[in-house]
Order: sequence, then C-alpha cells, then structure tokens
Amino acid sequence: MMDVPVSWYVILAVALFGIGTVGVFTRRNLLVVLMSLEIMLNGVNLALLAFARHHGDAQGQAAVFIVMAVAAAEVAVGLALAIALFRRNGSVDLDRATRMKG
Amino acid sequence: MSDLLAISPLIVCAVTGLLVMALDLLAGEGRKGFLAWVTMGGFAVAGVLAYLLWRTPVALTHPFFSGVFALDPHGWFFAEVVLLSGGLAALLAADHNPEQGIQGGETYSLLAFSVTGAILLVVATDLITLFLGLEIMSLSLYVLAASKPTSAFSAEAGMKYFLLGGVASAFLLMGAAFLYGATGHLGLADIVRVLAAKGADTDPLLVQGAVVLLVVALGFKVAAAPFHFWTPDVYEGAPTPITAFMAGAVKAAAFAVLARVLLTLSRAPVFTGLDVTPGDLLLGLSVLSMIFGNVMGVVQTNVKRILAYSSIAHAGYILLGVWATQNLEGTPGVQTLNDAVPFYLLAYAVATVGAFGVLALLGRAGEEDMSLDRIAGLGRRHPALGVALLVSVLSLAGLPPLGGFLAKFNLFRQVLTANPGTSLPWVVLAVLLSVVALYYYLRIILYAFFREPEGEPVPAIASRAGGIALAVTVILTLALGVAPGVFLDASHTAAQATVLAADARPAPAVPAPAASAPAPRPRGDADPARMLRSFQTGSRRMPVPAERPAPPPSRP
Repeated sequence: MMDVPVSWYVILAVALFGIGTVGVFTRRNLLVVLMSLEIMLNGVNLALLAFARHHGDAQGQAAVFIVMAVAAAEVAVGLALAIALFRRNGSVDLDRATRMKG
Repeated sequence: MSDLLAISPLIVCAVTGLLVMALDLLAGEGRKGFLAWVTMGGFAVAGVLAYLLWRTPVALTHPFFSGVFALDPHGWFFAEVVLLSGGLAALLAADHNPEQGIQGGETYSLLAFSVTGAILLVVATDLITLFLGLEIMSLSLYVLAASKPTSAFSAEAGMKYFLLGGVASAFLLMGAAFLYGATGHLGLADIVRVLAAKGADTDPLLVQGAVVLLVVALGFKVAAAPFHFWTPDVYEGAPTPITAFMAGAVKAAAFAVLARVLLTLSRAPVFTGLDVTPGDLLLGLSVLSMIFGNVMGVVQTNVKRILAYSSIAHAGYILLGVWATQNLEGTPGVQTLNDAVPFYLLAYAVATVGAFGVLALLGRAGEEDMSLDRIAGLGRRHPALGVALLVSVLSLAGLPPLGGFLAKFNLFRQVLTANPGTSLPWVVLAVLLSVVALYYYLRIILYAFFREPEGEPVPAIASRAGGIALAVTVILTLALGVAPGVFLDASHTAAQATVLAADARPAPAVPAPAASAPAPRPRGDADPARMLRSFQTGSRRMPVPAERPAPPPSRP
C-alpha cells in the first residue's frame, strides 16, 4: 500500500475547514450554511484522525467519535431553529432574518 | 474520595435538569413557577457541594477521571459564579415567562443543562472535555435564546447565536486538533509538558495556528471585539432572563477557560522570541473591545443593546486583566492569572444580572421593545425596581461604593503593578473610555428617574421570585463594594490555580485558600498519610517525562 504522508491529510483537512468557513459566511440559505458547518467539523475530524495515525495514539480517534456525536446534536438543534425561523419568516433565507440591526 | 463524589456538583445540576423535565410533565398548564424553585434548589445544593469540595484538600491533587478535570479553586470559583447567575436567571424566568407567553417548563431544565455544561467547561483540563462542556452549555443556550414562541426576534437571535457559536466551536476544535498534532496529547498540562520537552523541535506553525484559532473561538464566547457582532442582536432578541444568564454566567465561564487555556499554553517555550505572542493577541482584543463597546454603546437607544455594548466593554477590561499576568507565588518565572480578574467577573456577573433582571420584570406579552423611553419614570412608579436598576447600572459604570467600582479599581491597579512598564497607556485608555461609558449608564438612570413617560407607562410584572433575585443582586453588589475581603481572597486563590502545572510546579502545598482563614478540614481527609498518597498519585502534576497513563479507552 502506498503511504500517503500525514501532511497531505492535514492540508486536505485545513482546506475542508476553510471551505466550510467561507460557506458559512457567504451562503444565504440556512440549510447550506448548516452543511458548511458540518464540512468544517469534518475537516477537524480528518485532522484529528491524521494526527492520531501520525502519533500512533487512539486518543484522537476517540475524540472524533465525540465530535461526531456532538455535531449530530448540533445539527438537530440547528434544524429545529430553522423550523422555528421558517414558521415566523416563511423562509430559511438568512437575508430575511435581519430584524435587528446595529 | 471517589471520582463521582468529586464531580457531585455537576451530577446534581444534570439530575436537576432531568428532574425538572419530569416534573414539567406532571405540572399543570400555567403552574410552572415552582420549577424555578426546584432548579434554584438544585443549584444551591450544587453550590454548597462545590464549596465543600473547594475546602477539601484532597480534591486539589488527585487526578480525577485520568486527569480530565482539575477540581481546584479556579474551577470552583467560576462554578459558583455560574450557579449564582443560573439560579437568579431561573427565578427571574419564573416571573418573566408566563407574562411573555413562554408557557412550558423547559426553560428551567435547559438552564440546568446549560449550567452543567458551564461547570464542566470551567473544571476541564482536557481539550475534548472542554469542547463537550462548551457544547452542552451552548446547545442549551441556542434553544433558550429562541424560546419565546411569539417572537420573530427571539428565533432570529437563536439562529444567529447558533451559527456563530457553531463556527466558534469548530475553530476551538481545530485549535485542539492542531495542538494534538504538535504534541500527541489532548490534555493541556501534557501538551505544555511535551512542548517544553521538545523545545525547538515542535512545528511552530501548528502551535501558533492553534493559539490563533483558540483565541478566535474563545474571543467569540466572551463577546470580545472584533468577534462581538452577534452580541447586541442576541442579547436583544433572547428572553431577558436568558440574556442575564448569558451576560453573567456564560461570560464568566468563557473567561475562565480562556484564561486557563491561553495562560497555560503561554508557558510553552514556542512563543518566546515571536513577534506576536498570545499576550499581544489578548491586548489587541482588549483594546478593540473597550473602544467598540464604550463608543458604540453611546449611540444606542435600546436598553438591552446598551447593556450588550456594556458587556463588550467589560470584556475589554477583563481581557486587559488576563493580559497582565502575575507571578505565581512560590514559583518565580511562572505567570498566572491576575488575581483581580475572578473578582471582576463576579462583580460584573452580579451587576449585569441585576440590570437585565429589572428589564425582565417590565413589560407585557408581545411588547418586546425595550427602548429608553419605555423605562421613563420607572424609578418613581416602582421604587424597588428603580433602586435595583440604579445599583446595578452604577456598579456596571464603576461608581463607589458598589462592587463594580472596587472591581475596576482593583483590576486597573493590579494591571499597573503586574506590568509596570507597558501597561500605563492601556490603563489610561481604559479609564478614559470608562468615562465615555458613564454617559450611557447615566442616561439609563436619567430616563428611569427624571423623565416622564410619553403615553402609557410600561407595567411592571407583579413578582415574588424575581423580586428575591433582584434583592440578592443588590445586596451582593453592595457587599462586594463594602466588604470585599472574603471575595478578594477567594479570587486570589482561584487565580493562583488558573495555570495548570506542567512540570516544575510543586503539587500545591497549600491546599487551603492561602490568604483566608484556615479552612476547617473535613474529618475524613485529615489523615496525613492519605493526603500524601494522593499527592503521589497526582501523576498529572509530576515532573516525569515518562509515558502518561494509558488513555481511558484501553482501560478495562
């Protein structure tokens, strides 16, 4: 099996994280924003796994499970909030959720 | 002492949340008020337990749960602040919620879960435990912020808080992953130990990147500029008791963890000789927050938003305190948290809960606007609320003889003594900006006492629970200003424990709070041999470069 250096994984992880960050701040559809948030967290997971392999340590892998569980909880709350917002605004467009300014 | 006993305050809070959830099902519609008292009672029990553990010497040294918790004065001090703010917020919600059409009892259980998370956050020494605490605290708060069913503002506030909070959590995690990559450990003490052992061997990019990510994540949580944009909106949109909790408890917990993480990491030698140290980042955030918070607050007309900008400004002062580290007693060369900071956070939490508490007891359902006009004449129509507002706001402004004055004076003095050479211009700036802030604080007072309302005045909610909460904040604010001795001692002890021992620091030889009266030791723990044993098992604090104990999953 060909060995892929750890740094490649880390670069990919950071790239995913960056893509997610840009997505959260530029997309206006709430669901897409939630997806971007997930991409950020998956970037973190990949980094943790790569480092865990690099160090030959199980702690990082255990951390990934915790992060996945928490991310699932976060999405559940996020979707609930999206429904609450949809009921009041009639859309999940974030540009319409700007009642408060300043 | 068993591990479970050591985290009993956490367990009590979590069980309180579950209990309240169950009782909520049994309680009839419109009779949810008693749940606030159940919650408050749970917090009180947890607070007493935390205090007892604080006074128990063994708790300091034993590595509970493989050392993912540090059950030390730092953790317990902030746990008490969180429990206090949480309890007061529950009492305020008991009066506020029915009036504003929040019928269910889930506010109280979510509040209990949020408090659980905040306590976990302040006692955590492991980055994953810390993340868990942060998420438990925040996920409950996102829901709480959006919990006003009739209000679009509230849903919007919850959404904004959720999105930016989620990004902050991801940043924190990425920082943790980087530190893990650089060292192979997730525990803060281990990370610093490995960084120190490796010296120039570590990849500085990873560690510095991690610190920047952590500063961004925690800067968001403490509402420091330039990561403060969510603050006014969320504070305005969330139900007012929840806002009080956010401003008091969440800020205190976030600052506790910010100080612990950054100051512990600062001990690693990777930062020596850098152009930009973690301290510089803190100073930058501090100055920006002070300027933004104090100047932007002047142009606001909504009282909740004014208090939100006040919260940002206070974050700036506190960051200045975190920046100006002090020497750890007994170990020259090791810097720890400035001992004015925990006291400041306590005084700020009490005063801000009081100020938001008064607003929580105003208005009726469907009326969300809390502009300055609406509090006009408050002092004359409702003298008790007026006095509470006066005391809280003047304490926030930092006028004697209130707690806020002493906290601010003490903070600035300690910053000057800690960094005599470099801190003078920043302290002068802070004092000048405090004078600017006086304008908007006094404007609230002016409206409340010297203006007559145009049109129909806002009714106050007839209250018992909320009144008790406000009385507590007023008494505490006065006590912090007039008789601060015991609080200052506790603050000093807490600050001494903030930086985690990585290597050379001896296991704390003075387990009882140093400056205060000798604590009565519980009988069971007075056995010297037992204490010695627990010192020896405290491998987390030992200077051994050997392997750390096997990670938890591999244990049977």
